[in-house]
Amino acid sequence: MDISSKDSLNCSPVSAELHIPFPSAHLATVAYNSLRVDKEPKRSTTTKVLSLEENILKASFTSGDTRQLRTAVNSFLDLLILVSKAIDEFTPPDFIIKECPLMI
Amino acid sequence: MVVSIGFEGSANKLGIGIIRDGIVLANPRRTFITPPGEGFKPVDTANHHQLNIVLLLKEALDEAKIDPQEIDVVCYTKGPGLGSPLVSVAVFARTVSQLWGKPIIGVNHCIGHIEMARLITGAQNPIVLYVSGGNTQIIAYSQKRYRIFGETVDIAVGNCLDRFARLLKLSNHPSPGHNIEQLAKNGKIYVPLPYVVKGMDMSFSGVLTYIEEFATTLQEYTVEDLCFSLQETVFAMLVETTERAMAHCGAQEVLICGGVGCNIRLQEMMSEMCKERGAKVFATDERFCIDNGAMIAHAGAEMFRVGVLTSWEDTFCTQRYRTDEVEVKWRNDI
Repeated sequence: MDISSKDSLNCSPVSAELHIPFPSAHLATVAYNSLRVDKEPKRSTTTKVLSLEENILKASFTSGDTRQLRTAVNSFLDLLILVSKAIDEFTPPDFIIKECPLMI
Repeated sequence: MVVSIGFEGSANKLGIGIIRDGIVLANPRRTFITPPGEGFKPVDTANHHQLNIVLLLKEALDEAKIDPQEIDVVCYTKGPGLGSPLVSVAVFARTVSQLWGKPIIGVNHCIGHIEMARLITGAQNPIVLYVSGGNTQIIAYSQKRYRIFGETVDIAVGNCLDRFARLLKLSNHPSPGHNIEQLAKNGKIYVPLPYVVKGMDMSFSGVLTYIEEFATTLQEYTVEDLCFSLQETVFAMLVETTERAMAHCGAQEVLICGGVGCNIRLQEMMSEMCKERGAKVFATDERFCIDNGAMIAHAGAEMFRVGVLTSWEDTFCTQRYRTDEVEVKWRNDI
């Protein structure tokens, strides 16, 4: 008996798409920059693509395995929550993101 | 006058340090401590860091009495260390770096230890024994690199101590190594344990395997005896290889850094060897031996001072990051 054919949770690829709106495009950009640097762990079959649309941060996940997808999405959301806490606590008044100098 | 902030979280210690011109203004730390018999896992550790980092930053800023706008550079630990904890701290550092509009620098954790120890002790050109739960290296500076003379071929000496403590179900508060050190003071019998030095390198996994396999025969010895015997054995290995490096380099100074460097018995044994050679031992106290943010802030400030910055794409983290990968541009001596 072929086990994998009995695993109905493994018709790949599985995917998830998150849309997270921020109060401003500046803050969405901060989150985008913080979260786009790290690659998914080497052993994971999940790929993650981040993009920005005005004040909305979009995250697209594709995976060969549902459980790995869950892990990737959960980790991402944990880090996103961390970013939003940092934004809540440490954004200076009248914050405008600096464009080029930082992104050398 | 450079004000730098450093974020450290490569293992179970979360530290944030603020330094102005070589003076530590704040250096608070939170440690993720697991129950006896358990080690800290990456995901739980990452969780701990995420839960504590906001409050810790507020604490650091309050203690230093500075406004974020006074900070010149944001520094974070690029590696080596555990993946998810490193990334948690890096993501946070990237965020505040953008919010405050400050450049960001990724710092090598080992170099953080070395540079902080040099700053605090004033050691000029020592052989460095860097010993912690994650690393065991003997390092000598030469021509803009911290060269690794010798190292563990398997696990770090601190890892050996931590896992030994787990086997014996010792408390992990404040750290397993600390509790081994206290128990060892009352040890009376020396139990011969595997002593493995291979030239400039050392191996510690044999000692652990030996204790695991012979747990029943070792029951006739007290916990104190075992702690004592383990320390005497592994520390002697460290002293032997350090002495060999000193002989190669003609060095008259030894600098001990990393969490295991807090151990007074290790410092004593190293001092005895150095006295015979007419050399000096330098060590810091647990504020700086144990992982902390100020060491990252200081090493980062040195890099900043000579214009070494990290491009945004390079602000990733890496679990393996060799000490000799970094060009030590801020030192002018040969």
